[in-house]
Amino acid sequence: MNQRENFFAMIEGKKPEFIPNMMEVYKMCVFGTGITDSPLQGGLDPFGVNWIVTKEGAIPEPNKFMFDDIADWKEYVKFPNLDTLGIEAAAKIEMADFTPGEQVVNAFSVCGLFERLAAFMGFENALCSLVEDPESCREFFEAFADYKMAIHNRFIDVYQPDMITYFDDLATANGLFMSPKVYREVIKPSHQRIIEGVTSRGVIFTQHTCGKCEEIVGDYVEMGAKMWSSAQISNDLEGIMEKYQGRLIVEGGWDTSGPVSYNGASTEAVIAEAVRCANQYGKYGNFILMPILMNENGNSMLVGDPRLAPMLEVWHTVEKIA
Amino acid sequence: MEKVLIELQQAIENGETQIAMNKTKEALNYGIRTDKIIQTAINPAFKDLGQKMFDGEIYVTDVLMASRAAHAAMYVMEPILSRSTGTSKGIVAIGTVAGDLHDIGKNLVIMMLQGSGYTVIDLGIDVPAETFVEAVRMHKPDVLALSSLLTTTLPELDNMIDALEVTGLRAQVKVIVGGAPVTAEYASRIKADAYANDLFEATEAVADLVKNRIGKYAI
Repeated sequence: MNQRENFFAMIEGKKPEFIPNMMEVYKMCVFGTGITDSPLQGGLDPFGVNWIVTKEGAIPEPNKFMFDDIADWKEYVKFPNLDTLGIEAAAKIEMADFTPGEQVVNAFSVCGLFERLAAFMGFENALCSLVEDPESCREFFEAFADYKMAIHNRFIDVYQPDMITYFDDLATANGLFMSPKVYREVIKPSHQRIIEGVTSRGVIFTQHTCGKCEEIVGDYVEMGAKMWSSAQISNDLEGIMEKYQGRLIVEGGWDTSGPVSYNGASTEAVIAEAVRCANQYGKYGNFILMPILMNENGNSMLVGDPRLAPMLEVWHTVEKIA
Repeated sequence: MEKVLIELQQAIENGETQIAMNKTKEALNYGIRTDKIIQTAINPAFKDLGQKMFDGEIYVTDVLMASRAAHAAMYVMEPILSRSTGTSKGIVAIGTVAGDLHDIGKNLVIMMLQGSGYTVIDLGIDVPAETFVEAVRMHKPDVLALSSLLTTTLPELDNMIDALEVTGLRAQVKVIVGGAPVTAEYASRIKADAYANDLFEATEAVADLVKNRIGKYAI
């Protein structure tokens, strides 16, 4: 099996030949979301929010909020006209050298419902709004879900992706930002529409949520997500893999912010972490390795890391599933 | 009289800002001193919240709402606090180190510290070492709290403590460090005075540092 065939065996709940790793299994498509959601090189997004580039990715300019009170959102939020953004041209450039058939086409869709609210009004205001004015939040999320769904439809038309990875960070390393009850009452209804919009077009929906979010992973599965990244080790990964075998692929497993990802960690230590992931998670048949090293140099996915190449060489000797 | 303090504590824990304000006014009308209100209602509220957060019973939203309610209580007491001397528990200068634009953790810690009765000087985000040094010189804080949310800016904590050494200011201020990638081992390596894993630990650690106690979070 090639990467694509092996991946689809997993999606269909069959036994894969090997454990995929995110560095090789995907053709990642990011130009579209760079236009519609968060500029990759920083600057203003189509809503007028300014993004600052850091080594670990772009973030909204701190302390510069569009509004403080969620009840005012309609006065400030003007949804962009997707026809004017140049999504088609960007996709054409990004897919120019791509040969179909080998990899899984994965179109990124960053800045989900909660992240967008936080980009507009700051993290603290956004979180308090969920509790203080859930009705206005729900109204905003419904409108923003319409925008996201329109984007996804456009991405599906221009990229013809196998999968859309939707990013919405809802948790710290210790737990969710908000209670599962608040998530379910305020965010989930619009989240569900976004997921159904993707799956109804025959495209795989991947939910990206960092941190310890295991309390709502079941909600993701129930709504139709087939994958969850960046499954970090603060969650009970083995329990989740076992529970959702054949229904959910778990992408992550790497100790992203632990000593093995430090700048001073040896190549041998990085290789040992890959072997640990293969041994610990590979047997479940629904695991994809996500080897992200976060250290002084930044996110290895964005800035690279010389230890990853030798790690991959060894990975290819341990990735086979017995 | 004690009932009103229990109700204030509950209002803070429930994140009920208006009730917290009303109960604080009520407590003051009963003639209860501000230091007693802080010690008997506000501090225990945060202590309970810390335990509940540790036990996974509450979430960041709950802590934020509680902090806002505590702020409201402090706001009601502000005219009295500003008239009296020595009511502040201590001065804390805080900032996110150079290169780091994240402010969430820092702001939460500020809310907790202010709600607990400390005077906080917020130096902001992406703060160069010189600015921290200048703040220590000018404000003479009891504690300098340094936050790094990025692995990329972690070495700045080390640089900052070096800068205090070089300028001869290290002995006059206690340094506490925190942030997602920071560990107790790292804090020990760079010779910080304390390390806190979350905002509750930070508040407890600051209380120890201000009183020169070797507490649970001392390095």
